Amino acid sequence: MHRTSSFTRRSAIALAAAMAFAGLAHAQKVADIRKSGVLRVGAQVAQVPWGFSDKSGKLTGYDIEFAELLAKDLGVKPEFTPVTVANRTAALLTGQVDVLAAVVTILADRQKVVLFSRPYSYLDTVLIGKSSLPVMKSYAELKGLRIGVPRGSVQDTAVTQVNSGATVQRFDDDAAAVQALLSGQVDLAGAASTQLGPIGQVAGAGKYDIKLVVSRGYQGAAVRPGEREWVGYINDFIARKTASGELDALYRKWIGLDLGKDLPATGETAAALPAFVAK
Amino acid sequence: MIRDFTLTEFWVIAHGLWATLLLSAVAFVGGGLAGLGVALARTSSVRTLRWAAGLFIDFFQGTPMLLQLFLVFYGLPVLGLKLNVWVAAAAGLTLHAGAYLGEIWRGGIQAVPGGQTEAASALGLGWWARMRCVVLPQALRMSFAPTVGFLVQLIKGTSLAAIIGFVELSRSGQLVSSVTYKPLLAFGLVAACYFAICFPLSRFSVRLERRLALPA
Repeated sequence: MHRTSSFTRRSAIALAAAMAFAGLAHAQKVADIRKSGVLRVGAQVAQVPWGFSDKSGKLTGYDIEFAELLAKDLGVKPEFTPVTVANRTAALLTGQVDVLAAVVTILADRQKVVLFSRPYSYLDTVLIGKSSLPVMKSYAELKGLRIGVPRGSVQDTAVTQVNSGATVQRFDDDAAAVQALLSGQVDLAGAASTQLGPIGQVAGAGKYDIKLVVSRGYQGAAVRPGEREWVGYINDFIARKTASGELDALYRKWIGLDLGKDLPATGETAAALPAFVAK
Repeated sequence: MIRDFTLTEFWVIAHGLWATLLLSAVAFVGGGLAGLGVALARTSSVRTLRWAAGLFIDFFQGTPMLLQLFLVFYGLPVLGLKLNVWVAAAAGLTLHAGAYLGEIWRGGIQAVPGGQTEAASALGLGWWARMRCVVLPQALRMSFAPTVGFLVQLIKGTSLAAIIGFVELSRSGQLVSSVTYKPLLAFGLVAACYFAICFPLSRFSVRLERRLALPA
């Protein structure tokens, strides 16, 4: 979910540079979007509960409904383009979409490439394990355990940097890491806290729980760099929806937690970067 | 929110299967035509043509297909040319197939005994008549096995089109697995579909090869 593979990073930076040189800035004025009648959004479509297809095949989820609210605010229809972690930056920078609502966690690397709105959601990355394991208070207690993480994710970085004496196995995505946990190939899986519900559904409630909270990351809507008017509109939209409580209700509907009033007020500074909790 | 594996999920995979088959067919036909042109250019007597075809083949054989698709879909818009997903995937795969098939068929053309070409010229056949009636039929028959082998690779290679958002068989398996949390079932079905396409193709090619074989 928070993967930044170096290939996509390099290609995204290369594309951004190419666009700067080509002078091809798809200047995004809010008036242009209103005139075209369509808000082109890039969203993930295989990430429960942020963006996924329901039983009838309709796109739904927190990110999807957030984008639908934004489109309604603009007075246009939303048009969703499925993106993955690997191609979402390219889709945004080449003008395929005008905004990304794709669980894009605000990281320092990414702040250099895209322009983030203020956060509209947060996500705790955690280590999940069998309930029979004791809750851990620090990385030192990981020694000797096998940990499965999605490659290049926040959990991967954290667990690798800490050098705790645990064996780290890297998988392609969240689903694979969770699957390794469920089949017993690893003792702990690095995942988003929202994975606990689905795990409970598949393995049985109460069998697995959170052992260690790695960090809290904030997700922002990403737009092309330099589009101040557009990001200003989105920031204002988020501020209004937070004040009216609509955003909190939406978050509680999909994630089951309170959004809280203490999200960082901007996505462009170090204040919006993940707060590492565990030591 | 995690769903059970129902008929909807089977339909998603079936839809992905259809997309894979269609994309493979388009890429093979388009790539076949391009490959023929590349092979003829590569074996022509005009040095510039040979050099240009060689460059084309070197580029598409020397870079990963993933990168080629990425460049076609995300790189061309930077130059002002916007393509939709289907066109970009088809174009990328066609060029890729054209390079590989061109090289395979070049080998076939060069394997036709020189005596055939000389005899054809002696009979007064021009370049195109010589190619069409004498050289190419023999060359293509000789290249039958590697051609089908490449086709099987191409069908599996269409899974890379997922990078540009094309929902084909592998990606549909990923989508289903992430909403049902049943990866073994989802990817097992996908693998079975790939096998169901590729295995008959290989068997059929062995039969056809025997039938079309040139007398030793």
